[in-house]
Amino acid sequence: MLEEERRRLTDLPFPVGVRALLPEDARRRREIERVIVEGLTGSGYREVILPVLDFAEPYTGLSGASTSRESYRLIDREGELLTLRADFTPMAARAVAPWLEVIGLPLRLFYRGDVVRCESARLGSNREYFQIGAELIGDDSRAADVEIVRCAIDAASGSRSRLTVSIGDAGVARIALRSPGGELGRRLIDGTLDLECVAGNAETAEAASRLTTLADEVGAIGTRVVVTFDREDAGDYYTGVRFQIYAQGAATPVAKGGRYDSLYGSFGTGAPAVGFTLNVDALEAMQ
Amino acid sequence: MTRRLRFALPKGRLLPATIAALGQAGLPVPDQADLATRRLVFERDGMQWILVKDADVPVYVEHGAADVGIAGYDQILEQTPDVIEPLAFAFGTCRLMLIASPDAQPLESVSLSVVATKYASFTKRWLRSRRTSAEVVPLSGSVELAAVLSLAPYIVDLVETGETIRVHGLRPVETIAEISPRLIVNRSAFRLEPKRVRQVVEALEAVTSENSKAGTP
Repeated sequence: MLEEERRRLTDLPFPVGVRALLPEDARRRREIERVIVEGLTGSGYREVILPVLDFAEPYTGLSGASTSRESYRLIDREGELLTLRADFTPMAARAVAPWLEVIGLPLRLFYRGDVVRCESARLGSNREYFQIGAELIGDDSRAADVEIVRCAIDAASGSRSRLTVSIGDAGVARIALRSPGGELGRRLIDGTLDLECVAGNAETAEAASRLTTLADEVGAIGTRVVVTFDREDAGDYYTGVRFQIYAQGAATPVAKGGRYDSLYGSFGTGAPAVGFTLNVDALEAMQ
Repeated sequence: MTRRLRFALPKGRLLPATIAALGQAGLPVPDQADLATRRLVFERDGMQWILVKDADVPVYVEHGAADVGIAGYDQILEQTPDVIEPLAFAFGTCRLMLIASPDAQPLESVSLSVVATKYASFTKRWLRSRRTSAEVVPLSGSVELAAVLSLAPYIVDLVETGETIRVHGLRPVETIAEISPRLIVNRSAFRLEPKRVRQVVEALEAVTSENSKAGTP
């Protein structure tokens, strides 16, 4: 009986979606990480280290992975509701917002570590992801959008496959969804909305021009760029451009990001910000 | 990048009408000779067609094993796949209904009623949206028998003509949703190949007279 119990415990695998990295895998992970971190540091981004555990309350007004059913939440011994980190971006905003006036803007930050999500979005995807993310705070210019997308492309270029950047806009999606029966709304929902139509609408013309600039600048470095409008872009805390970077043949993006100009405001000090997170596990799988 | 689009079609009842609609839209669909074989994958002019079970179409499309597909709205409601749903077709329509056995107490009046269905996840959400805490019994077929044999006073099931309900002496209570086949598109395929996806959507829109979406509860 005792022997049987011991065998049961030694045969018990890790829960689905989490894994240990043994020396060779760990070496590969650290090597990929080193190259990306050197790139970010070289471009003037400074590291912040964020906790894995936080109160759930500060995030309740937001939308996104950290507040949805995707996050693990638990009650501690004092009865406080806590959450495991499911999304870096809001946590970085909460950590940094009180210090913005002291540190000064613009601010370039990066962070790395695991996020844990209990509802894996896709078949075969992990519950624990290793991510590296970066953001540019205090700059709402088109140049800042371009800088972040280029940083994300550089970081993802370790996949050594041809990358495609898909860009869209949260503001356009929200405006379109305000009147689902209108031209913009109907075409957004049907998946037939194109840049021409967005540029032709007075409310969204500015966003269209911004996307065109971004597509041209990113295309100029030789990356394939497509502009798409998806109703999903209206979700989460994003306010402007949103993008995903795909490696050839991959069904999920290796990196994604966008502009969230009101997120810092909800944690005290308002500042425009644009950033991305890179899924390092996906990069590893491709190398 | 000229990747061919992979299109998932539902085997069974809806297949002939689905292929007819796609052919009418000018898409290079498999022909009768193809379908007479037992093969499940067909190549035609840069398009790949796969035949899968109706309930599996959303799974293939959501996970990118197929780029586009046609799935019953009942399966979409049940599985809530993260996909784009550009349009509904006019053929193969039916209703998702709440049906009662003759002696059933009103659903809300009983502290814990029982509803049997093939759509357990959807039914739970629907009951919660009505602030009703009935228990849901998942079944995989012949759901009307659950009401006939007193396994559950209520069932949630598809109704085409109402004949099955009538012969079993059951009572239709309300229509929960109008059901028809829908085109669904994988999000990544849409983001990577928006022009090719848009061409398919526009070709199908042109042949679909019933373009408006059925009501979502």
